[in-house]
Amino acid sequence: MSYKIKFKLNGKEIETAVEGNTLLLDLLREQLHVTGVKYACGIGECGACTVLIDGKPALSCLTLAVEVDGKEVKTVEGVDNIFSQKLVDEAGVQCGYCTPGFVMLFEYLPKYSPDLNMSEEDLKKYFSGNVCRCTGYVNIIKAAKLSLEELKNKSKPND
Amino acid sequence: MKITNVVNTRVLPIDFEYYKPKTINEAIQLLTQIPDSVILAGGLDLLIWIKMGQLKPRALINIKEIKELNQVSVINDKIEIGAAVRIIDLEKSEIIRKKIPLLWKVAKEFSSIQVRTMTTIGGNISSASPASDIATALLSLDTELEIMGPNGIRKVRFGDFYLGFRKTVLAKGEILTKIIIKEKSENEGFGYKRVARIYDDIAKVIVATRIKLDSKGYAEKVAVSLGSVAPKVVRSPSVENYLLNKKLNEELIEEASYKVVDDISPIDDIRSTAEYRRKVSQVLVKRALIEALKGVYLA
Repeated sequence: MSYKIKFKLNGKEIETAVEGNTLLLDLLREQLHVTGVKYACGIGECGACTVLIDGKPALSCLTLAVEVDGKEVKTVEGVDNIFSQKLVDEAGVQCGYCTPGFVMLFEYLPKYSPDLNMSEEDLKKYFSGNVCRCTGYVNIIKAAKLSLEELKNKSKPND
Repeated sequence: MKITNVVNTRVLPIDFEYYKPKTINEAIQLLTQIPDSVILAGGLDLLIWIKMGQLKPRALINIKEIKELNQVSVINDKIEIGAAVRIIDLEKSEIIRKKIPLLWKVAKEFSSIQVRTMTTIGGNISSASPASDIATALLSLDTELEIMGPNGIRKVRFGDFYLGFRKTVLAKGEILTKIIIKEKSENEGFGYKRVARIYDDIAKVIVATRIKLDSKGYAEKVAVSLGSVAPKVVRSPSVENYLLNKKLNEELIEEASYKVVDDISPIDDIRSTAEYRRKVSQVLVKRALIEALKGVYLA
């Protein structure tokens, strides 16, 4: 069955048709050529396909494309956060396949923990749904920590 | 060479119809009228089952955005949680944190952030997995479920909800609509322990406990529930009865904890062995009961 859907992708209005069984992952990658979102495990364990739907993280490999009708979807292409730069600075990127998923989950962090008070242990737990098979976790967590510090400094009022 | 049992987690191998009803009644109508129609909530079990070829539904009925299913309300000493409320919303809810601390703790430690934002409480318990942390906790609490169907509303005690592995009392056309839990009372403490390979894995053994002491310090209520050790989540009456109406201390709790093996029937599978599960169940029951007892005195 084909369904017409209308949604916002990284701020742009999209109107298209999808099959009932089209996954959001495939709509993005195959139909719209937004390839920042990655397929890896397909069963919700690795986080490589993480996108934001109405500001909340979702696994696009376990979301139907038809479900995003009327919603706002954000992928790594529409994100410019401090964490992306810190990942580069701290060598938090090896093969890069997991990186978009990590960046998308960081995008949600200020909403999840508005006071930005997270210890290293909290950050490890926060990113537990994102798997890096190069096992470059040390630098990824370091980049996240530095990003948090910078965000905190920015949110402090100037005196 | 013949390759069998190849599953492709990249695609959903079959097509289906998709509906997004606005009300519970509309959803019940669709479920009743369309043969082989199933409810889509968080989708984390459902879509994986379809990918694996274990389920071939004709239609998916998305109930996630029905308003009544997304509310948490307090009615007298009971908290009513809509079936489509997400685990992350339980974690962020002040009501849940204060009034049902056991459920709050489970929600906070549940899987990953992505899975918590997608998973609904109703979907998690309706999947009837014996390895559900949420179901294990609900079994130790005074929990009742509201079910709506073509014949109206009925209520079921949580202990009567499961018939077996992946089987519930839900009949065709019925939807789990509310999870109703009695709030924490005075002199009550809770424990929650699990063993898994890494922190957010599905558990090898889960234990949830609840202890209520009377004014003289005797155990007025003891609940011990376990997950991943039987075809469904189970209580341990042997441990509970051993402790009931006694003054509790660590030695007595340890004695009682050995009895848990009489109430469980674990199996060998990819996550663990039956032997290990029996051994660890005893240890976790002891620790979770001690945690609950300490919780009473802290409160």
